[in-house]
Amino acid sequence: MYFVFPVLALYAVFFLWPGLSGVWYSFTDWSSHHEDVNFVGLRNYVQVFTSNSDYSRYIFNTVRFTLISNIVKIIPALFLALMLNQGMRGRNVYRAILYFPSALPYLVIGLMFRSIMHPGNGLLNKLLGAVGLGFLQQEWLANPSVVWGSVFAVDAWRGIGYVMTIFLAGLQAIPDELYESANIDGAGFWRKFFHVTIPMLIPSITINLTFGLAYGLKVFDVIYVLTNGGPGRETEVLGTSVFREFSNGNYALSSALNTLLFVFMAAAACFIVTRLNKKAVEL
Amino acid sequence: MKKTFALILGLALVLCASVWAGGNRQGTTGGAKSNVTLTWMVSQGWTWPGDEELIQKFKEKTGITIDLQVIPAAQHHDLVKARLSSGEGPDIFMVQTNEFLIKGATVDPEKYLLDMSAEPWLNVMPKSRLPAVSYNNKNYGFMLWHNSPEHLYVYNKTLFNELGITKAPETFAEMDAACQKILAAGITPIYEYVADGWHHQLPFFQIGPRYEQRNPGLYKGLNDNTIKFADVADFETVLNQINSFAQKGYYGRYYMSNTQAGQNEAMATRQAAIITFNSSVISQVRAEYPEFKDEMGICLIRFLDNNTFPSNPSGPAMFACAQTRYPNEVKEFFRFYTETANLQIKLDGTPEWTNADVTVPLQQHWTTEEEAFMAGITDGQKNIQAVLQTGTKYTNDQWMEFGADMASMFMGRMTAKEVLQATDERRANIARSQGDPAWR
Repeated sequence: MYFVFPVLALYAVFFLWPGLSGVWYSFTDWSSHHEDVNFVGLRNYVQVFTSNSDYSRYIFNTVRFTLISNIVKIIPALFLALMLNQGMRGRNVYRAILYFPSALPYLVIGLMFRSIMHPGNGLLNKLLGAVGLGFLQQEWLANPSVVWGSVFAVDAWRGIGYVMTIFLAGLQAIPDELYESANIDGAGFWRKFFHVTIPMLIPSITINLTFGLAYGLKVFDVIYVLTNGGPGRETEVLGTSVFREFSNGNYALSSALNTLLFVFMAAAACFIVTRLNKKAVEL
Repeated sequence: MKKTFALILGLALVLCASVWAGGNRQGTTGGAKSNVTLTWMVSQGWTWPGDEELIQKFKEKTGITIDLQVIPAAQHHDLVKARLSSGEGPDIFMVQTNEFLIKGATVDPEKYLLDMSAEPWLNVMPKSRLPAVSYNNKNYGFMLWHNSPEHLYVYNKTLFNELGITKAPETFAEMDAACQKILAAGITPIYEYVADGWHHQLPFFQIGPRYEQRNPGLYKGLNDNTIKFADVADFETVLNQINSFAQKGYYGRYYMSNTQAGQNEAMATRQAAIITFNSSVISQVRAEYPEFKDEMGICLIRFLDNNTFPSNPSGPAMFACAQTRYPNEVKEFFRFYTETANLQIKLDGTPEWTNADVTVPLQQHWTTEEEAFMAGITDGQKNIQAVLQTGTKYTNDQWMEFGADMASMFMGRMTAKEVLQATDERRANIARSQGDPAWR
């Protein structure tokens, strides 16, 4: 107990106290425009769900980003991991190439893709035009019908390598004997995939889903650098609106949005960990 | 004994080095140190070669380094406020400000801005600009901006003539007809850019005096909260007129993705016939594209048949953060920057400006187009009111938010009425949080 106490004290001072303070401030009128801080009950939460400022839509956008960004990363990453877990030549090079975007800062990625996706002189539209697919040219980051697709594509380009690495670690921990037994029983690829690989990968899936949910719910940087919440407010999410309200000096409202974010994250994480842990196979 | 001697020798060396370093400072005053780096945060589009030249000169003179941080326009104001609020404000920064905006733009002037009330350079600014950098009778910043007519339509007169448009449009209907002709010729009538977030809302606000002209007492009503934005039929009309330009293709195919960076090229290559900017952009286009020989003209924005001049004694101003570790060095830089010779360097090294609005004598570079345009403007057109964002409270505070709503309107996600209602809600929130009695 005595050994744990210093760490516990640090945790309480630097994590618990600021977190709980944030929750408390979400029930006040704290702002940059006046010195005193008064308790206002649920006023900030009421404003989040009733004002013209569309916070409800930002919450919906956040949930949408979380779900879709995980789907478009986890499924391809799983198959890439299966592919690169085979004894193919140059697999380490491919792994490095796929992982490389994860090492790039989002600021660099944002600037790069904003340039690539510019409708007038961007590489993407020029390429489409050059190969006779000019009809597919778009305002990738300014057309409300395609902007989310562009965001998911960039996010997947960056994140797939990381997710794949976790799957690879999980795949390498599956004993060969299980596949050999399945082979003797005459199981094909899909049968082995669903009855050996997936059950044995549950811990990796849990890790990826938990990380993915946490990342998706608090997403900020990829949106901020690519679209800044636009066009209009089309890609505004909770993370960018927290930043915007804080910048505008609306600290209490910003804290309320942040508290909501925390509640969503905690609920989602609890759900995933409890559900998937039950399905994990122990050796 | 040897140890004591070595210690004394060491201390003596350190002392000598300190004295030498101190003696090497050139031109620093007021306790400023030479070996420091100051951060200067500006929005993209607010800094020019003249600033870099001054930074270099300042370093040569004082040894103080200025780290210029240029932030994308769409993110600059949010970032400044976030950094100030978190106690991590840059030593020096620029923000768009006016008499009503200074509090909102800097979060809390008395808390976050370095008091400059005793500085000798305050009288370099014209008196009309002082309220924009002052709060509760204290002066905090330096506003150096040009005095060119801003923002109006700058158009390609040669192209207009070639297309049979023989005179600049004087009404909304004439503007609409001119745009139709230009579009029919395969040219974008107006180069508009939404992606920067700050520009496409200008036409709505710049014709503020026209609203006042048609609705006497409007500004007063908006400021004492007896009139709401959503109540003003003219506001809705103009938003719809602007939206109709976007929908008819007058802003071009990629106006939602366009940025200011493409503006001059669009003009010089005849991809567009009109840009909405300040009049001095003409000299900038000519300097960047010497092969461009077309004659240029200037006319007022014509939504709501506007014929009033956009008077606007506001603009970006330079402030220092009260939490800076180097207040003396920061003040040293402000003094250096505002010396007459250095203001001339700034003006000469700023291609977008033809003049600087200061009280000290500078060699200005007004263009013939500007002089001709201003000669045709009467006092009656100029003296009605300032532009809407400068003359009304809690309006410029939400500049980017209003722009985002207008973008939503262009995409069909919001109506003009909803844009105005959202503006009223934000005005009320800001006013209440500032304790404005008119909103209680």
